Amino acid sequence: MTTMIRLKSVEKRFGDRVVISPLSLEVEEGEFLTLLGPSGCGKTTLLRIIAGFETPTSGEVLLDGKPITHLPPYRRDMNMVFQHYALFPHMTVEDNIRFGMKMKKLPLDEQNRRLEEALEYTNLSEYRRRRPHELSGGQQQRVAVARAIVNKPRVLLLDEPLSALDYQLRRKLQVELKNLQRDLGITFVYVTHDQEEAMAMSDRIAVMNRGVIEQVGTPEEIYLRPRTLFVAMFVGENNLFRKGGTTVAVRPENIRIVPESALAEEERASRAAVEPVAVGAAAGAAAAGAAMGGAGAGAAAANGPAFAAVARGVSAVGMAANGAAAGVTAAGAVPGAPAAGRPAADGTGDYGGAFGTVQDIVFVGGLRKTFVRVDADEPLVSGVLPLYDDAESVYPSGRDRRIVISCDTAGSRPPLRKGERVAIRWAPEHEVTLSC
Amino acid sequence: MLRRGGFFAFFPLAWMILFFVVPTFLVVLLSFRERGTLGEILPGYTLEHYRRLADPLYMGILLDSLIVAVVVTLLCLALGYPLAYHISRQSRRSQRVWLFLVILPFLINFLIRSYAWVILLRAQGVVNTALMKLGLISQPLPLLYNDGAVLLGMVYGLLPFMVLPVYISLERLDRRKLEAAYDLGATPLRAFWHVTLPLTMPGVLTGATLVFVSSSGMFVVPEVMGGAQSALIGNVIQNQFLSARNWPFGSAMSVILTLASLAMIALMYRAFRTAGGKEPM
Amino acid sequence: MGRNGTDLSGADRDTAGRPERGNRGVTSRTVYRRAVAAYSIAMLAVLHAPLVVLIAYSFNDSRINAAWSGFTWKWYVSLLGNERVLEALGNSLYIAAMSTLIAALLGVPAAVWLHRRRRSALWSGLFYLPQLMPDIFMGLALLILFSRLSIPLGKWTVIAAHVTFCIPVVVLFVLARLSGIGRELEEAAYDLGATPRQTFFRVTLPLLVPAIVSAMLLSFTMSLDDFVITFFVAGPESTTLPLYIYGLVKRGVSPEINALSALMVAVTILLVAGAELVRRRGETPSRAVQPKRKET
Repeated sequence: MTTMIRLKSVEKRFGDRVVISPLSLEVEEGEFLTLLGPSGCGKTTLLRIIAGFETPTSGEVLLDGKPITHLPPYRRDMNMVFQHYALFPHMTVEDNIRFGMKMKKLPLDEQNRRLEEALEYTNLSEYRRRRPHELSGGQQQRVAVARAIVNKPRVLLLDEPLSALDYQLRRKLQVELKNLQRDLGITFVYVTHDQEEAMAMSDRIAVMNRGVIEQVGTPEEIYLRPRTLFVAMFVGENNLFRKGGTTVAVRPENIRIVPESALAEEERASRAAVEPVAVGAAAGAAAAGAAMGGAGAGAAAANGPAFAAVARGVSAVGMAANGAAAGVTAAGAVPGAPAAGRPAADGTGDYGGAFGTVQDIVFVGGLRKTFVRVDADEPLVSGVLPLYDDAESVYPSGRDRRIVISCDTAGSRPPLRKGERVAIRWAPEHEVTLSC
Repeated sequence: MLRRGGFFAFFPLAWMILFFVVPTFLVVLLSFRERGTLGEILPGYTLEHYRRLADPLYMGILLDSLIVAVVVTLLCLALGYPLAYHISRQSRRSQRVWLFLVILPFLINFLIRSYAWVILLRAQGVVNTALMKLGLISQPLPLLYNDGAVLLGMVYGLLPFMVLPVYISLERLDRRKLEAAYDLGATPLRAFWHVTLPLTMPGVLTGATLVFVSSSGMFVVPEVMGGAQSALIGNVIQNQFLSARNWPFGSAMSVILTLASLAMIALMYRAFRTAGGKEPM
Repeated sequence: MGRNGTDLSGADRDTAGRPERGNRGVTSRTVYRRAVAAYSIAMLAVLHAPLVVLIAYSFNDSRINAAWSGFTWKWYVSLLGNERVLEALGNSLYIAAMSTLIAALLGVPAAVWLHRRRRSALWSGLFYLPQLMPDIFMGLALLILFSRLSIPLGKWTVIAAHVTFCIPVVVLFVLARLSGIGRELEEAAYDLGATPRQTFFRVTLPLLVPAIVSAMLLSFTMSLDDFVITFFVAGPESTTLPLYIYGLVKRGVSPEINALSALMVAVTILLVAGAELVRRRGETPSRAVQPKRKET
């Protein structure tokens, strides 16, 4: 796998404004790489630097090993599909597509051959004599693509080519573009702010924010193992917690909600699988005791593996006491005893957790999103982590940081009501530690 | 590759410098030169022309001309705004037709248009003949060769200069703001004063500038329609260059005229800007 | 019916036909609107009246009377025989043609350059400033220039002057068009392998043609019509039509002037209508296409 494009410490400044901080990136031959980020993050500028429309303030750009940093666009073996297509209005579709080949002075029969190929491939044969303004958005986009690929460039650069199209058309063309890339084997560098698009089409994604590449990886890596706070919050939705000195993120689909009423059931079920232990005050006391610090851990453990999990990650006395006090409720419900998540027999159990009230339930696509407002910032039970409380919260403005989002398929469990008391839990392996 | 542009620009720039910037300087320079008895330029610099201009006679003329220009501007505004308003409320197609009709007379030579008014207004002209035939008057009315005629001629000539920019401004106006005003209980007059007018200030300013600049230096209309009586500064300047052969004096006058004109424009901008609050187009 | 808003006339009556509360004064609005309409029509009539009269009387068989004596072509015929008129006409046409051509040759590169420099205020000002100066100032400034350089006044001094006020027109039109075209097309051409030179001739220029032609037609008209500036810089052998008419007017009214003026009016109308048509035709297909949201 050779490196097709290499960016070495590329930096771009406009006057005093730093648009791209020195960054390096490698694009492999034949891959579909997407630069993903919000507006203003520098992704388009980076693309334009690769294309040659901007010159980096410092750093180098190499194409297949050869430096092209200062080469004008018409001497680079790349082609671009522009955001607004930039079709030449005074030329027919045919002439538009021919343009690049004419500039290269290709022999006429070769031009014709490639032209026919491109028209066939993009289904534009019957529109060849039309002018751009006589075509629909989708057709214009295809002309733009045809015009670019007909030159058989090493690299195809695409600047948000689908942003002007409506949803259905966009999905359709995403598939078409992806197939095109696979068929032709050209290296694609794609820019978009639409993460769904990026995830659907790319081999790798480079997530950018404010002129910096936060993470480069496959869609899976980006989603399941975001490395920074920004990536965790930009791609999909995430819940943030503070654990010790670090921040961890848990995806909504990994957050389980257990209604308070059902909590007792689960408790019984899991404990029944281990050892019958007196529920109620005794359990409550034991839990409290266990929470009272490391010494109690042993006592807790004595009550069975079910509580051993609780003993793990015990925090300071103050927090625990608070949790214990809040947690003791009627009907012997054990305060947020997360250990009751699964039969203790397999040794692992849900780990993090807290109590909260259901704020809202929303249906999106085939999914159900439940918004739970947890009770307090401090952990309620040992092992529970307070929510992310950094002053400069990266939650989208307006998102309450005490709201935890849980996501599951509609109908997968009995419906909840607003205002209902629930416990939220997640397994430790679903926590992703972030750097920020 | 952008450097190439520099080559493009050389000739046009050189032209504008040679035929615009340089002559302007020459005028200013000339205004300080001495004039010999026969009209030739003597070596040596002097302020005598400017001193002469400070004379109440000439200051009076300058002031008159500026006042006339202001009056013409205001008249054009008062007469042209409603017209522009009407046009902007037509359908797209209608607008184009209206605009064409309004601009058409304007494209005709100024001189010809003034002359056309002469035909209409002179003692044996169309208007007087018609009125006499109808028995409404027994003597021809002195419609020509007075201040009113000059004003008429100027307003007539410069009206499109006002109508067009105001129309463009009105066309861009977001009607919803007006609707909001009506919804809040404004009468049409108040809605106009508080919403429409301020929002169309850029157009008004542009129009006023164009009209003012054109009218301050005019000599054709005063001459053709005002007769010997009308001595606006334009006429005086023209005179200096032709019969009086006093180029330095004429230059000094035109320098003062241009400066006064530019100053008025700046003032106008300031005044209207506070009322409207936007950059002109 | 405003474009940006809804139709204000029909929707604002409640079921009883009374003006709704929120639309107080809607009846007075209609009154105002009608008044403005009537005024505008009257205004339009006033604007055109003198010209109509002028043209009408060019066919009048009487020499001085404002009374109508009969229809005749004789004044036009005598124009054709008038050598001075024909000479002035020839001069006017020649001067207009040359001025237009030179203004285009200078104005287009200037506009392209200004566009590249993102319309920097300083340099644009240089090209637009002449419009802000009183005509009389420009006229005598050029007169002084020519006299200083000892250049005798003649056709070419007039042409030079006309070019100077036509360049801004060309620059204005072409710049406006360039802005409309946008940077993307140029970049697309570079991307496809065209050098800046090739881009200019194959992409930019074809798209500019309507604007250039339009500007040239307007310049031609302005040159034909110009009086004040020409007045100062024309030589004895280079009388233009407006100057000739001025000479006649100073001597008094005569039907020949009417006929001549009527001809000029006709020519002007034709030229301007032509310019508009060309510009309009050039606009629609040549605009840089924005993607529309239609189905494929």
